[in-house]
This record gives sequence, C-alpha cells and structure tokens, in this order.
Amino acid sequence: MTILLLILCLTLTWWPASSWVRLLLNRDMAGYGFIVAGYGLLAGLLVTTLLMRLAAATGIDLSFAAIALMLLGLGVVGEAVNWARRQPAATPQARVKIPLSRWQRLVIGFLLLLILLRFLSLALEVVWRPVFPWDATIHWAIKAKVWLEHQTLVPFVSQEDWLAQGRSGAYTVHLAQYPETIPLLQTWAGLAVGGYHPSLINLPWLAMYAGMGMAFYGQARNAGIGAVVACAGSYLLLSMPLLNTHVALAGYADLMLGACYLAAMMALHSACTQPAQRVAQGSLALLFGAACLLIKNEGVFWFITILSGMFAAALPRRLFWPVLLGCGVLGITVLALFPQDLAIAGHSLAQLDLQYRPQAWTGIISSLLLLDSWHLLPWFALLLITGYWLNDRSGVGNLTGIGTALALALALFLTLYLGTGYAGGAIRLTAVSRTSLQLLPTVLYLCLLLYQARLTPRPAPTACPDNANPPHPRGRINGQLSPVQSP
Amino acid sequence: MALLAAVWLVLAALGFSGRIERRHCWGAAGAAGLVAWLLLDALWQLQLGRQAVSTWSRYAGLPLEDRLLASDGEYYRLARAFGAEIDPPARVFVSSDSDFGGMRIAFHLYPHNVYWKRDDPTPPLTLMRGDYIVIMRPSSARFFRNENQLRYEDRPPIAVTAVAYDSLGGLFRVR
Repeated sequence: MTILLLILCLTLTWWPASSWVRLLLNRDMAGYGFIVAGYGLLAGLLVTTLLMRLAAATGIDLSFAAIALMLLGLGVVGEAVNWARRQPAATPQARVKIPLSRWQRLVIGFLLLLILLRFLSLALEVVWRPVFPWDATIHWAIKAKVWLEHQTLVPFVSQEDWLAQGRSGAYTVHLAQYPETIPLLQTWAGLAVGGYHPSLINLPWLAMYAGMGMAFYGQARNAGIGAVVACAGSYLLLSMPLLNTHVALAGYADLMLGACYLAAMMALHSACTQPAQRVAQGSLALLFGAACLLIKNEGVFWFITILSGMFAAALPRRLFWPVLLGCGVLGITVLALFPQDLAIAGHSLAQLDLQYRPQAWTGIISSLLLLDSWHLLPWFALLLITGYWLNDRSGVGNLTGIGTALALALALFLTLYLGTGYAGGAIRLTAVSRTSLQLLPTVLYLCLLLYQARLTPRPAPTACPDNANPPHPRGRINGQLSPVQSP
Repeated sequence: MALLAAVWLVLAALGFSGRIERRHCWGAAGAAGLVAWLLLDALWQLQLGRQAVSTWSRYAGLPLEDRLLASDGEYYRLARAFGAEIDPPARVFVSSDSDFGGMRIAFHLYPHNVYWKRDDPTPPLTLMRGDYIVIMRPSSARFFRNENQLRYEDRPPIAVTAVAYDSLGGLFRVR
C-alpha cells in the first residue's frame, strides 16, 4: 500500500506540472520529451509546495487527499488547455534524425547503465537510512515533523520571538526565517506514507536527482549537442560525488537550489540562442530563477545573476562593456553607501564584516581542484573556459546570457568566501563545497556547450576566392537553418 | 590517471592551436577525459557499493524504532524516555555543552515544543513555571538535590523538580 501511495505521490507531483510545461514548449524541438519530463518533475516539486501553502492559508487541513485533489485539478486543467491548443503533428520531414552508429549506441547504453547503477545505489541509501544531515536535523526536517504531527503549517518563529511570546503555540528552530519549500517537500512525502517517516521523507531528493538529469539531457539536445556527448554530459552531472552525497544523505537544500539554478540557466541559454523559443524558455528561466528565492535566502543572489544574464543578453553588443563598467561602479557606490545594519536575505553588511581573507584560498582550491568532490569538472572547466577566452571563440554561439550570469555568480561566490565572515566555511572546508553544488551543475552545462563548439567544423574563411562554394556547416542548408538533429 | 591527463592536455592544446583538425583532437580529448572520469568514478562507485552494503546490514528490514536506535542510539533512547514524561504543550529547553548531542536530542524531542540554541548551553532567563529542561552530558549544569536547584556558572539558580535522569542526562520541570 505504501508503495502504491508513493507511486501516486510521484505521479501527482510530476504529471500536472509536466502538462503545464508542455503548454510552453514546441514539441518539434530536440530533447522535447526530456525537457518536459525533467522540468515537469522539478516544477512539480515546487508547485506541490505552493499548493500546500495555499491549502494552509485557506484553512484546508494538510492531508494527502486534499493536496492530491488540488494537484489532480491542476493536471486536468493543464491537459484540457493542451488539448484545446493542440496543433497538427509535425510533418515527418520537419526533423531529420541521423541514425546512431553501433558504437554510439554502445556508448550510450553503457553510460545509461552506469547512471542506473548510481541511481539505485543512492536510492537504497535514501530508503534505508534515517534522516542524518546537520541542516536537516537542525531545522528542515524538524518543521516537517511538527507539521505532520499537527496536520497544519504551525508557525515557526525566531528564537528571540519564541522566548518573548511565552507559550503562544508557535515553534522555533535555528534559521526559522528560511523559506519553507524544503520541509514542505519532506511533509508531502510524509503525507503520502501516512505520517513522519525518518527515511521516506527524503524521497523528493531522488526526484530532484532524476529531474536534473533529464532536464540536462533535454536542454543539451536542444542546444544542438549530439546524443553521445549529451548523454556523457548527463552522466558527468549525475556522477559527481558531492552531488551524489547530497542525495544519499538527503535533507540539505543545496541540491534543490542547484537544480533550479541549472534549470533556469539552461533555459536562459536556449532563450538567448534560439529566437523561436525565446518566450517559452525565457519564461522557464524566470520561473526557475524565482524559485531559487523559495529554497534558501541566498537564492535571491542567484536570481539576481539570472536577471543580470537576461539583461546582458538583451543589450546591444557595443553597449555590453560600458554598461558592465557602469554597473560595477554603481555596485561599489551602493556598497559604500549602504546602511551597515540593514539586512538583505538575512545578512547585513555589519554581520558580513567585509575584508579580504586570503587564507580562504587554500580551502577554495582544495575543495574545487584537489578533493574529489567533483571528479575532474573544475579542471575541465578551467581548460575549456581559458581556451575560449585566450584562443578560440568560434562556433560557440551567444554565451552572453549564461556567461554573464555565471561570471557574476562566481564573483559573488568568491566575495562570500574571500571577503566576508563566511571565509571560515572555506578555511574549515565546511561550506564551500555545498555552495559550489549550487553552481557547478551549470558550469558543467557551460563546459558541454564549449566542448560541443570545439567539435563543430570551423567556418570557412569568407575572403578566400577558392571558397566560392564552401561546405555548409552542419544544419545549414541553402542559407537557412534546418532542424537537423545531430547524432 | 596521470598518463590520461597528459594525453588529454596534449590533445586539447593541439585542438586549441589548430595544428590538427580540431574536431578530431577534441573528439579524442573528450574520450580521454571521459575515460579518466570513469576511472575515478569506478573508485567512487566501489565506495558507494560498500556503503550500501553497510547501510543494508545496519538498517534493512528493521522496524522504524529499531532503525532510529541503530542510527542515533543513546540520543534517541533518551529523547523517547524523556518525551514520554513531558506534558504538551509545555516548552522544553535542551541544554548541553555538546553541539552535536544537543542538536540530536532536540531533534528527537520534536514534535514537543523545543528550544535549543547552538553554542549556548545555558537556559534563558525567561523560563516559566511548567517549562522543562533537558540536560544532556557533557554539561556544566549541576543539580543540587537538597535544594532542588539547577545551577550554571553564569546564571541564577533555577528551581526545578527532577522528573527523570540517567547516566547521560536528566529531565527537570521548572517550579
């Protein structure tokens, strides 16, 4: 019975949101099915928590049946709108699929097998091990435990307020002011199994893992990356040790934040590079970027990087550097004039204690390059990004959006660990890797784009008289882009 | 691994330099990079496999209570014993010099209305009659049985009634 309820819980989390994602996208795009599945699953996790908040706000008891009915209604409406707006199926000639060779099928099969093995290894840990991580037992899972006990979203207040209020019925935890999405996800899984369960409340972490993998593969295919390279990229993503650890020892918020940031940035890149998908992918970028705000307080900074990427991509090229310089000057001025005690996202300048702390470099370099938290990703990233800057920018396409957003995110990351009191998290190696988890999946996507560009033939020089009829680059026929899907 | 890394770097450098058709160089560099990743990942998968066996032998097939006892042993046992003595909706203050111990016992005491502050083992001055205090060793608190008082170095004594205690800690109700 528990298994049936969990299957129903997963279906209701996945299907309604997927039906709304389908509304946004054109089914002829490459990677459509994977994008719908991956984004649908991640969006479903978020939407479920929003419905739980809505239920609580309207006085509906927090029960599996109530939330399931709301999700069912959302799904039915989504399907009805899809049906009403259905379009005739694409003509068979619209998308030419190049068949995979035997060795390509073998490589993909092997990588899928490895991904499946990894998923099973992690799933066993999630199902068997009671909730363990520090963050889960210090605040996230506590809220889930209390809400499941009371069947309603009992308020949590700061420790100071709790003491001042006496016996008001409110509860308290450390960081009570943090967003409620993560404990709501645990509560949702708990509702499905009939109450607080120390292991099964962590099942949403498996959904995040699967959603990330599918969304990554789908967007990679949509970006014109071949099936083998896209599959290899997904394997690299899903095999990174620290990402795996956050699934196996589920309960931290960083995986969900990393998944939303990745989903937003991939959509941002598609919106910037594929005019036909600008509105749909731009909407996904905005929605998943805004979702960062619902997961952790620092999500606001990642959302700002996404908005900055969008803004930069919309700027005329000649204005990019002047505007960047202007923004830098403006940022420094605001920082200098900003009230020291005014808190944003839970932090004030006075608390941050801004000053350069060079001793944190050791921890940052160890975490990223020496410890095996990310296998070889930071090394690949260093080579590919340096090569892009120094040597060869051909064939990459427009990276302004994703590049600006990631560069700003990296600047914020370095400022946090080199310039604020949080440097201790880098020096003691306690926090820097967790924050990296929020960004490195997106860095991997950027690496895949850069690598794919290296695999694309160089465009022929235009000035050469012998090249009156140069060979057409892949996918370009008679001067028009054709929807050829590379293998 | 070192050899693969060297091969990868040479191929990448050739690819960037444009001396050889870059597609071929980067195809080979990508393959070398993937093989290096696979080798590292094989070690990681081996570790995950060992961990799965260990987790299975420790938790698989156990009822929930036993699973929690296997996971958090003394903390869970103590929280369960003390939790049964607390009348909701009383406030419960957890006090311990060990951050980890305090955190774990506080976690297991929920859904009682618990207060535990990291790095601060002393209960606040705003205690009310009927509140509970859970002391978890190690702790600087001392219970004086004759006076029925809990004493901390930097705080006035607290008048309490001892409700339950064992070698790991005690439960007290504020009078």
